[in-house]
Amino acid sequence: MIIKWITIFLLLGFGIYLIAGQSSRHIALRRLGFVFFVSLSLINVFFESFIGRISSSLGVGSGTELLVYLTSFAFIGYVVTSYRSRRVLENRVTELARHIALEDFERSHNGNLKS
Amino acid sequence: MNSQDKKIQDVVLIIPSYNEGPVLLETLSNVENFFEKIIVVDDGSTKKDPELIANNRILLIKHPVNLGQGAALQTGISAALKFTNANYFITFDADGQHSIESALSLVHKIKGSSFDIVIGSRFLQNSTTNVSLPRKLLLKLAVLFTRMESGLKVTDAHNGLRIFNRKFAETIKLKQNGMAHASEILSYIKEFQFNWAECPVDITYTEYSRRKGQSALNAVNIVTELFHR
Repeated sequence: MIIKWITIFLLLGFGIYLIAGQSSRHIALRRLGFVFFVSLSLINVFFESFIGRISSSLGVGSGTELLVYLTSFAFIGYVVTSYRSRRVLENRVTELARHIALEDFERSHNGNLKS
Repeated sequence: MNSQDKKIQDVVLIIPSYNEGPVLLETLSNVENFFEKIIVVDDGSTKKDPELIANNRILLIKHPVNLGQGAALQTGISAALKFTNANYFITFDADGQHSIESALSLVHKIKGSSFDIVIGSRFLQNSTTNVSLPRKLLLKLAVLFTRMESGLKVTDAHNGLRIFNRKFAETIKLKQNGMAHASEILSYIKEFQFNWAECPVDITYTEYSRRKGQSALNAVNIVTELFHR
C-alpha cells in the first residue's frame, strides 16, 4: 500500500515537473516520456506478465492498471500544456493585430495626430 | 454641462466596439459633444455597419480580427498614449449602457485628486442602477472572489466604466483578451499600489444590451483565465 502511494507521488511530481517547464529540455523530456509510454503499451500487449511483475513491485494491481494511471496523467498533462501553448499563440496574435491596427491608423493620418 | 459649454479637455474616451452598428452611432452622438477626443476600437466587426465617420475628434482604430474586449481596450489605451497628450482616459461601453452623467462624475472625482484610477460601481449609495436579482447575486459573488483574490475592497468587480490617469495607462499592459481584463486591472492596482476609489454610476440595461450581455456561465471562463495569467 505504501509503495502505491510512493509511486503515485513520484509520478505526480515528475508529471508536474514535465508540465511546468517550457524550455527545450522540458519539451525533449515530454517527447521521451511519450516514447516511453508508447513502448510500455506495446510491451504490455506482447509481454503482459513482464509488465505485470513491474506493476506489482510498484504496488499497482496489473500492467493494464498502470497504463490507465499513466494515460490519465498524460491526458491531464496534454490538456494543461495545450492550453498554455494556445495562450502563448493568442498573445502573439494579439500583439501582431494591435501593431497592424495602430500602424494602419498612423499611416492613414500621415503622422498628423498628436493634439 | 451641455453641448454649449467647452468640451472637456485632457480626457480621452476609449470605446471598444464589436458589431454594435447603429447603437454605437447613437452612443457617439451622446458623448461627442462633451469630450475633445474619442477613440473607437473596432474589434474586427463582421457585420456591415453604418459607416462611422471618423474625424479629428473621433479616432477609429480597426483590429484586423476579433480579439476580445480586453484586447480592444488595451489597443485603445495604446492609441490614446501614442496619439494624444491627454492625462486621463475613460473606458466606456459602446452599447449605450453607460451614461454621460456617470462619465462626467468620474472626471469630477479624479481631476485635482490624488487618485490614479476611479472605478464605477453599481452598488454604491446614490447609484440608481436596477440590477435583476439573479444578476445581482452573481455580481456579488464576483465581488467576493475579487476581494479574496486581489485584497481590494471593491463593491463592483466588473464595471466597464472607469477613469485613470496617464501614469496608470502607461503602467498596465492587459493580457486578458476576454472579460477577465476587469479583474486584471484590479490586480495592477494591487501590484503597483495605485491610489484608487469608487464612484456611483448608473447603468441602463436595454433590451439590446441584455441580449448582447454576458451569460452567467461566462463567469467560469473568467475565473479559469485568471488562474492562467
